[in-house]
Amino acid sequence: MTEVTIVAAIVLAAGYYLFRCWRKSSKPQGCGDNKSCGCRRKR
Amino acid sequence: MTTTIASPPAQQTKQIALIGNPNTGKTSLFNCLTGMRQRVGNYPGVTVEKKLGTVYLAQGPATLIDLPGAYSLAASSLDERVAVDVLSGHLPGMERPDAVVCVVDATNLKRNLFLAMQIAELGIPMVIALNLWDSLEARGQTIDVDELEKRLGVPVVATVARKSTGVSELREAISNAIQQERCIAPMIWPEEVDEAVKEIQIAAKGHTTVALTELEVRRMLFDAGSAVMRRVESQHETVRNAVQIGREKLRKLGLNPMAAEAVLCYKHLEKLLEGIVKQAGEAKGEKSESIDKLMLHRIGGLTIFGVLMYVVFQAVYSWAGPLMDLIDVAKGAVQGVVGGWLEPWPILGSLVTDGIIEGVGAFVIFLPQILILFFFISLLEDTGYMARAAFLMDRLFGWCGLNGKSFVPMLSSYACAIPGILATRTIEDPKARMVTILVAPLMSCSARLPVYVLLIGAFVEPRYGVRIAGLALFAMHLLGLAIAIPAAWLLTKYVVKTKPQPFLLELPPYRVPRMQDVLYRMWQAGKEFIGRAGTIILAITIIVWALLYFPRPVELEAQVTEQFTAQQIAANDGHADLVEAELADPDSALSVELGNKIDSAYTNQSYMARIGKTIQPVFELAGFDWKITVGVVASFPAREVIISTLGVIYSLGGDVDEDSPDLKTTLANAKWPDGPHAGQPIFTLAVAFSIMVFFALCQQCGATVAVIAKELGWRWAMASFVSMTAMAWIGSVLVYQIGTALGF
Ligand SMILES: Nc1nc2c(ncn2[C@@H]2O[C@H](COP(=O)(O)OP(=O)(O)O)[C@@H](O)[C@H]2O)c(=O)[nH]1
Ligand SMILES: [Mg+2]
Repeated sequence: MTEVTIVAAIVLAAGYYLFRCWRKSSKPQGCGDNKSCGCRRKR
Repeated sequence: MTTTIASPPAQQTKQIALIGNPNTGKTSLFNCLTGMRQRVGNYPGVTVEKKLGTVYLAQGPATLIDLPGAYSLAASSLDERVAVDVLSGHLPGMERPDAVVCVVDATNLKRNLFLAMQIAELGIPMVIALNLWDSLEARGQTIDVDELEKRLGVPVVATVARKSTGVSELREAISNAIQQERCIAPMIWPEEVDEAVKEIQIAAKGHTTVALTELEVRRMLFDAGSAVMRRVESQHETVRNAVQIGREKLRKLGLNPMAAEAVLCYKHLEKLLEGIVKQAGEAKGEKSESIDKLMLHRIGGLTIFGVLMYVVFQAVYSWAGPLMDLIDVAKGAVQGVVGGWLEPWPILGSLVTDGIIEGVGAFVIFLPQILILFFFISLLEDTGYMARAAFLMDRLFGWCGLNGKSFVPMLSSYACAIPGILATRTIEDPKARMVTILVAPLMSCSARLPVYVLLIGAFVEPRYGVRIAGLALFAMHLLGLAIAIPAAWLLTKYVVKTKPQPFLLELPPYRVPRMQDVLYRMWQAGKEFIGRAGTIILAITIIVWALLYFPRPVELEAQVTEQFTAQQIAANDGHADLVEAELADPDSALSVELGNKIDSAYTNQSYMARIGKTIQPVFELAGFDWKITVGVVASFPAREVIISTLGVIYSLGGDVDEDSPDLKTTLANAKWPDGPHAGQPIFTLAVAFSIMVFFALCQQCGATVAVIAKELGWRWAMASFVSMTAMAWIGSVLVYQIGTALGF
């Protein structure tokens, strides 16, 4: 039971993280300085 | 109680702007003064946005602004305009700076001071930094700094930004400049110019909200399509006429109005600089020029370029081996230890070992390649060679309607399309800029490198050896360019219709690269790569694992066991006892085979398999099975994801065994379980290249789509996405079909 809960929590956290990245990068200002969400170095 | 109190303006931190011609060492000085680490590069156009930092002066901390380089205030490209807007205080949310540090190339005083003279008219206190002093000395020359200071009327400091020489003097000079508000004595214009300026001012009175300054009027007089002209609604007939009359006056003086400013200013500077530059010793001669005879030669230059690039990719491919093996061994060890700890919890254990460690590990293995690639890129850039390559490419690019200026952004795109797209801000012509942005994502970015290396390592090297493998890697990198050139040609000819533009890139001198900068760039790239492994790759890996692991109907295991046992008994002429005895031993070959069968049965009915099998027909013609399809689809947010996804799929699917310690071998051993090709390898050479071509041409990068949307709007971003995806599909189908027909 607890094992399933932990796994579910990890998977949900990953899903939430991706969702947040997607939200951020689909805003009009683009990904801006948000490096963690798939944005690479700017010069 | 309200707590918001507007702070009095006097207490605001001072703003100091760094400005100068491109490639004079502004960013290097910025880094010295602020202790920051902004990107420095030996070609014009590296800094395309303003960057802020803090510098500590005698008065306390002040904000230092690093600006893109500009040759004059008559800004034509987006990045130059940033500089002009900041200086004139027109950039929203930014005050006009309290002082300007004009960074001057000491070896090219006159041209560099032209910009300083223009800034002088803005009436902002100024300090001149005579940077690249070491290059001046190398030429056996020197500058009489005190005399120059006297004649200009502002502090002049000799600096070598690279070695941090003269930085504390510069800091002191900035403090003084803010206190004493010393400005360059503006130049004296001929009477005719002054008269014309007065007349335009009078004509404009009442037509503008704010009265025009002399300076603004002069910009209207001298620049075609000047920003001032547009801003002050000077479309007005009377104003336009006054400008025309003014220009007529200049013509009577024998001056072309468009060139008048430069001619007059250079004349002024010539007098001002008389006797300032002295030949102190033996000139060491211009090495750059003789090297360039060869480097820029039509055939010789291109040959050298080709050989250099081949060597780079060969190195990227072959040097990384030992390091990769090391990472692989470490990965296996961690898997063993962590797997042992998590033994009592099979689901969690699978998530951590088959999911996270396998997926992220499969990705991290490519760190050495990334480091080697960036080492070479920054080495070639910092020596000044890349600017020569841009020059060589000008002919090729000119043919397809772009120009050499597009080369620098395209080159940056070899590392990553995002800085490449931002670097297009140096292109004046908005249409040429647009085309460059649209083709930049076709350049083979470093995220594609792991995909190529994996597949080439698995399918090309075993058959043809390292040399051909390195060549294949080089060819994959050329493919993007080979497609980009005709694509740009089509776009310029039929879609956006650009006019050919003269090429304006200035060739920087050859410089010995500073190891610190090269290593720092490598370190940055490595850090970012690992950062991605720990964030987006990790998150997607977890999701992929979950979709592959679930659902888990318990009956399935019993079903497969029963079926397998029955099969084995039949194969052993009905000796049930023998088979059962062997299956009782968990380490026997039969047990391992059964374990793999169970694993693969579970993955085959997982959510991911169902999704993959639904989409797979789309990629049937390209030779993809459902596993590759899943990998390709999961890679749309970020293309490197395919590596971790394939790692997890094959690890969960029971395909990893003693014979295939790494993903490379696992892929080489994968076979079709059923269907028309049952028992044959899934990955033939044709499939491997079909996948690589798909990755070379597809727009699988959420961040790039977002940046294109930011620069060009969502419509273009979508157009780029759709057309690149279509191109990728067509390309991979062609490769697979032709390759298969030829028997690969
Ligand atoms: N020899 C020498 N090279 C310098 C000096 N300052 C900068 N550089 C080099 O000049 C190139 C351009 O520097 P960067 O700071 O990017 O110039 P920016 O374009 O004006 O920002 C780099 O390769 C630097 O390493 C200097 O004082 N002496
Ligand atoms: Mg710079």
